[in-house]
Amino acid sequence: MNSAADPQNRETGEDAAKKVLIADDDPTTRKLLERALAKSGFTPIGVGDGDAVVEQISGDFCAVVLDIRMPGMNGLECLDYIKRNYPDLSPIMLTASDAVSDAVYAMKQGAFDYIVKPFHTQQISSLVEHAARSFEQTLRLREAEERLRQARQNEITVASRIQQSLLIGRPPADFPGLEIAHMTIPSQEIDGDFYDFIRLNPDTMDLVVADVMGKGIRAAFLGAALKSYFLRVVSETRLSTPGGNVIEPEEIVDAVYSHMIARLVELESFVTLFYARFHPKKKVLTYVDCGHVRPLQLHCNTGEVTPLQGENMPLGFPEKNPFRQFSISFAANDVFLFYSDGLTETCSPAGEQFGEDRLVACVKRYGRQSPETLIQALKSEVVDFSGQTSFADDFTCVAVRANAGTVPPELLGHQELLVESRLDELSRIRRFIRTFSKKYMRRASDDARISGIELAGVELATNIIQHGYDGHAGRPIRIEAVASRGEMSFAFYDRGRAFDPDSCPAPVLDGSREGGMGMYIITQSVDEFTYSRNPDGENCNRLVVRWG
Amino acid sequence: MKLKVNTYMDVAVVELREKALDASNSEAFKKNMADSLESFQKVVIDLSRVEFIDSSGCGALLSCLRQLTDRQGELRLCGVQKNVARLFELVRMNRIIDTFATKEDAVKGF
Repeated sequence: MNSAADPQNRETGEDAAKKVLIADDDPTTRKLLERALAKSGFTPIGVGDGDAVVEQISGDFCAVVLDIRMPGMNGLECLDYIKRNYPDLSPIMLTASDAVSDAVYAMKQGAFDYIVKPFHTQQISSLVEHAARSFEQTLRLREAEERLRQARQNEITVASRIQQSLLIGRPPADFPGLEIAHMTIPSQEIDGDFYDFIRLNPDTMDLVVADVMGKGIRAAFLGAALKSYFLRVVSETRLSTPGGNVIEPEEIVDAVYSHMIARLVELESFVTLFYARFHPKKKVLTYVDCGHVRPLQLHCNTGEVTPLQGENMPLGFPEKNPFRQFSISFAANDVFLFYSDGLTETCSPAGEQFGEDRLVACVKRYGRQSPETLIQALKSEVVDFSGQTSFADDFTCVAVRANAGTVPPELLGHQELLVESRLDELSRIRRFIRTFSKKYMRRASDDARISGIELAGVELATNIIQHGYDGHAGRPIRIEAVASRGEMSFAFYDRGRAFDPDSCPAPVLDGSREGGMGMYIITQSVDEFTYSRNPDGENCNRLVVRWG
Repeated sequence: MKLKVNTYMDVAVVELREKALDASNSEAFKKNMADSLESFQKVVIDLSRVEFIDSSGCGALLSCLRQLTDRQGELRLCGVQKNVARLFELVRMNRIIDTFATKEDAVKGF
């Protein structure tokens, strides 16, 4: 009789952990074992074949005794089934004296031990006790492992909170002329992404974004150390030059590099970073890039998006050239997006990366709204793309709208002129400026403003031809005119020599000098003049007039 | 570079028949002015046709002024259009070179 079918037996199983399954096709042996194990305090459940084993076995048993030779599924097949489904349970095998090789095979497959028939019941009882104890220990070990796993998880949660509070800076509450939004979605693991905002003087805001290679506590600590070096360099500068010259971004990065390089090499790690300095009054962004993913600039006037690229290697790489900074100009309401590679490297379920092109499209679509809108839209696009809400890598981004606070100007018109670096092109440039301006500045009183831009434009073009291109003819000058409500700008692009408007001496206006008036005329004739040079050697001189 | 020189007694009136005086023609202007500047003590430059002058144009006019004053001569300007006048004010040319409304006024005053 199958005692497992006896309801009495199930109900009396007060200690489920002590249940032992006995499988033997010989009823006498079965009864013998049941009686012996019951006497030792177990709750034995006997079955007569392998199929019944599969039917009865559950997580409630602490031990199993299997006869190897059984009708239907034999003992070895039962063993295989049990090890696959209840790996912690190790059955004891019963074998006839002539089938010891089967028993040895069973041991290899994960049996607890084997007993050769005929046997003494006491021998079985003590082996089952042993197996049951071992099973309990395994269970306890599993629980301990689970607790440890939870403790680790907890540690990661704590570490990720530390990362949030230590590594992720907060933007200045109210920086005139800049509107900032930022976001971090930490990954399941912590890593060394960080960003921070530094205000060295009232006119500039510095933003540093960095990504430490690798993950875990080590990357987070390295990130924290790096950040503290940045703050140290900055505060030492403040002390040494109170109110004096402001330290340049390239000098800051260089000082941090000197502090950190030995540690980075020692830890075999490296850091990519982007250091940006916003000067909203001058509308210039100066930056140093060390191998970071390229931030994007949305040109509000044209709707174009251009990446900001530098040329330095990440910190921690053996090659090191002097750090070089670049300056670019921006217009009111241009938007900059800084991010970590966790964003562009987010994968779709099919394994495709989100990539820079999709990011550019997002910036074009949402950038004109607010930085906050842009970041929220980006987040939902990336979540939709990846089909999940948690990411393998940290996902950080910072969006900055320059000279915000004004309503984004409505674009009225946009036109380009390409000329050669010859002085006889000056009249064409003049005509272009006058014709374009007249379209939007129609009042009689605007005439003086138009003459002003015309004059500044000719002075600028002459400078580019004579100095930028050293008088060589046939080189390109591209002029981009943009009119928006209340503002008009003419950007002159050339590939000539770099030029430093600040190096021009003040003009002498007593008639004793015939030259040196150009830069003075330019700055006096328009509301705003900015110069910048991008990393691939293109100069941009921008003239802006405002009206109305 | 088109210049037309008329003389009234001992005064040379040089009419600049160009719409602009800028970096593209200021060197030529200086060269073409050389004759008048050497032959006359009193020179009037008539700018009534000139719609645009830039800093090199100003430089060229200052160069004429210097050559004349070196020889105790005198330079006057006339017919300065509004936009040009604004530039002259900006670079203080109006204080350095005497400016008259018409060439008759300029010639009369010598």
